[in-house]
Amino acid sequence: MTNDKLFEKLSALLEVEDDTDKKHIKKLRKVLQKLKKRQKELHASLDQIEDEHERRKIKQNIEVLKLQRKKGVGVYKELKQTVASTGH
Amino acid sequence: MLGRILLPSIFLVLSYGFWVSSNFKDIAAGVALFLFGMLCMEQGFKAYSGGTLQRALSRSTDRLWKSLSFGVVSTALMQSSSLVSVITISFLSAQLIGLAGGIGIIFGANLGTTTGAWIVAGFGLKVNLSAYALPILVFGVVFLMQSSQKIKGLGWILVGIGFLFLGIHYMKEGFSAYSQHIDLTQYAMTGVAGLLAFTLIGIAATVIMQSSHATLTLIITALAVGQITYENALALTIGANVGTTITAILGSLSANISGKRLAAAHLVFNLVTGLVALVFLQPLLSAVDIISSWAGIGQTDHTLKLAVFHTLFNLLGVLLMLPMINTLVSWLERHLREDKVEHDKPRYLSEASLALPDIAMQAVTKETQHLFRNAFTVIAHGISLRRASITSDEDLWQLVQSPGKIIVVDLDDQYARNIKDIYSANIEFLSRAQAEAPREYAETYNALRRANMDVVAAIKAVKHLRKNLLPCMLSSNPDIRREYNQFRARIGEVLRELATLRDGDDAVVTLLSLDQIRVAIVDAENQAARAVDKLIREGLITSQAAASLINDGAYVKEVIRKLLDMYEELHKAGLTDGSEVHDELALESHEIDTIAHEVDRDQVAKPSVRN
Repeated sequence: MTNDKLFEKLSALLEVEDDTDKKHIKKLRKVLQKLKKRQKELHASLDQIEDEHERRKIKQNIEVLKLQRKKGVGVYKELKQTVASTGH
Repeated sequence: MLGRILLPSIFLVLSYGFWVSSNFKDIAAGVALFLFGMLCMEQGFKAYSGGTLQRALSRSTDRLWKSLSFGVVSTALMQSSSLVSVITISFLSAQLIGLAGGIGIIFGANLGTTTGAWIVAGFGLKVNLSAYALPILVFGVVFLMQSSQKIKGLGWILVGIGFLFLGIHYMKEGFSAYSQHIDLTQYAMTGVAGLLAFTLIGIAATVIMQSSHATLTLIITALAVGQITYENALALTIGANVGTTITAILGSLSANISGKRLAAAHLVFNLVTGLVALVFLQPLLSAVDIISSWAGIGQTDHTLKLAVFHTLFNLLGVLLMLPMINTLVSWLERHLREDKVEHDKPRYLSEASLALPDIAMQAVTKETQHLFRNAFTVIAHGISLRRASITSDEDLWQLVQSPGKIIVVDLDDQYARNIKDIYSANIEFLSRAQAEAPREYAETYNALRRANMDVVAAIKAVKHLRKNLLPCMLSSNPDIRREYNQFRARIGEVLRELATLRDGDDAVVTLLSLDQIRVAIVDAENQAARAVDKLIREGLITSQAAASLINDGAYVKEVIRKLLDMYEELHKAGLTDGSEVHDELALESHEIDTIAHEVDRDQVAKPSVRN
């Protein structure tokens, strides 16, 4: 196999990986946006609910969303860094 | 019974034929090679049916013209209306397409299959096919030895074409050698009797070979050497067209009611088309002559004229039946109804989909959802709640406290009626589908198997719980009553949450919301444990009652855990993308415990336990 062909194959392989990373980031961003929106909705509903049992449930849900988002933002930053460092 | 007589008779006839004539041996070998070639080609096309073909099929059924075109094109390309029928039945059984769409494809397939006659008459008879057959076979076998499924598929297709060519070659040789010794046209019949007799022979030959393509090739090769008359060949072709429905009928025997309706539509179409061709034979033959002279086909080129006739009467059938497709659909739905059975049966599984991994996966996913819908009712009854109450907006806590609302059911009987058959069918189907599917499907099939097992485990835990639940929810001790009603409310709440998780939402977000349910459950369990401790400390319940409460609490935990696991397995199996994102964001069990604990600590001054 000539060097050119080898290089071509390698580029194709890297492009696929790059594409997979981009898709991953895109999906992650989409999910994070939805979680944020849901968290905002729950915060808004908390002001209108007086039943203690319901309020407790909403507070738990907000905490779950917060932690999921925190984990997601961490992964997002790492992925962005990886993509930036590989130069794509 | 028929099989017991038919098969030995065929063996006897063949053995006698081989004994008296070596030419007969050539013809029979030609037919056998041809049929084997078709099987190889079907095997090859199945390697491609996982992706492109299924995507094309699912996109082709929103409009009738698309279904029809799909039927024509796919059958013309694959030269196998049986494969297209089987795929259509599997799609229909899994309810991925509607009956009208399925019928459209079958009509199209009938038209598409007529290209076979054109290929054999226009190409097969004019060139020395054996010269091409052997190199194609060699290339095919080389491809078969490769590890890639797609290349192997191509190998099967090439081997199939090689055997088809060899089959046609042997049929040609056999008939031309025959013509030097015997003149089969001495058995030719004319008039209406000939027409009917040869139509019946065409039907019988196709039923035995289960391939109209093979019958037609046999007819064309015999016609080419003048061993049958043109008139009799026409009748045989009509018979082959009717007889071909046997493949669809046999395929539908193991299919559900949708598959049976499709096979019936196929039969109706081919019978009507055959009848029209018989009744209007003379006008059709005049039309064939006009088209043939217009297309430059010679007056005596009977083989090509037969191909024109085959296409023409199938086209006429499509044109006649197409406007009646909706009437046909409602007639079939009215007359072919699902048997009302005591035991709920699987609705989406079919033998036909076993060989198509993507379809098999979708079918068993739907069947697991069906199982869960039934389990929902069984579990609801197990905790003495109505399904409708759980899915309503009613306050569950108020509901479980309302007195005198025990639902008397035999859970074993409900399990036998609504769960057992579907569960067994799913497990068997999964094992068989997994054995046939490529390795990349293994994890999905395992997840679906686990989801099924979780459903059954949840029901079994409810059965154990119910032993104490029923007497205790009527106990004279208000504390015992309250604790058992808490159990009912907790399970009811989870069922309600699972029923209301929005399917239209992003699948990953929906799956992530299971963590919210898990936190609520841990919180409820913590509160229940504290409540039991308090009851024991204050001497409000006996130690035996406390032990029962703790044991039954464990059953409640098991029911809920299995339900949540089932939901997660089932929906993760169906994720096309984002599975990685879900795994990254989903909470670990210690994180769930921490959140439940922290919210509990913040709220400890105002506990939410319902009193």
